[in-house]
Amino acid sequence: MALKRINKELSDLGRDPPSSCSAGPVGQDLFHWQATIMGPSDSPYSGGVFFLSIHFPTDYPFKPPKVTFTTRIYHPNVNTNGSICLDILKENWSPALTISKVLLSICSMLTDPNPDDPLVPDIGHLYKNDRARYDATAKEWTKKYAV
Amino acid sequence: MSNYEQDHNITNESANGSTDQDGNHPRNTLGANLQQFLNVERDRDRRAGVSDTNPGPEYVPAFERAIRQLDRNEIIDFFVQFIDGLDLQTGEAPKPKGLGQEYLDTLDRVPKKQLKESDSCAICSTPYLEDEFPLVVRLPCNRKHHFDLECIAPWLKLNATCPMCRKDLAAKAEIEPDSEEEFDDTYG
Repeated sequence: MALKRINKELSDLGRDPPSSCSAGPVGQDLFHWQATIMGPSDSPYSGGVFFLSIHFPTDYPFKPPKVTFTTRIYHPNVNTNGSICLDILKENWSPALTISKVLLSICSMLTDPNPDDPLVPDIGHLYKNDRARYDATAKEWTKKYAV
Repeated sequence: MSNYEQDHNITNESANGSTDQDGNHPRNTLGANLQQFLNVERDRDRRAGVSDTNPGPEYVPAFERAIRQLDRNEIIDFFVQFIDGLDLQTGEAPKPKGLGQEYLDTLDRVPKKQLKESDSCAICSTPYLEDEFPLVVRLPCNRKHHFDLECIAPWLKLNATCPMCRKDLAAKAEIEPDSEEEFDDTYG
């Protein structure tokens, strides 16, 4: 089931790719993909290209894929290991979700961080209390690591 | 070297709880190991008249052996189950889990003639009509929330939510669904 579903998602992505993301297998192993997300234009990540690594569990889609940033990013919900704190990748996963939908959710998370459930409390605090400085740092990191 | 049963002075028969339905040799699974451990303990209790709350130290090695035979994931599963068990013991309401086979049996089936060429299961993403005999069921939350029974069953057994709208189906399962009036006869 997992392999069939992953293959289907791959062909759907090829047929109808989302505008700001791309994804596909790294090598022969269809359970390991790489994805890219273009920094949304209305965010301080604009102009950056962010790489992510995707690992599908063998019981996919009953369990969520493991998605992490491999490009460094300054964001309240992403830590230095690239781990992403996003409900649909954990307790709110549904087998009706796809990689395409997950990547779109990550895009919208870049535009609208959730500072109330921060994986990196310092960034969450800065986002809430000094938006200008958060924007500046996020832009700086984007330029340094993602351009 | 003596075997496990001799070590613990139990007969093979009392360890039979760990063989699977087909009577195959037990795998080193959490269930089999714990069953073995429990058999040892029951046997000891019978002979020594010890109470459950005061297990003797001589039986700890049996438990340790059972644990050592587990792999890492099984140990994690074990502790998850253990912690879940503690929740129950403290009298807290168990968090919503999956639904049983009885619930799956009550789901409405979508007849093949109502299925369109383009309809596919959101879980396996395969068009229903690729199968000559599709077994498609719909959830009570919405007429359009339908899936292959084969796909929705393993999900609902672990999670009582609709994959489309996340509606908690366990709540609905308590009450007889009165969805008959809500059905849109023009659909399909």
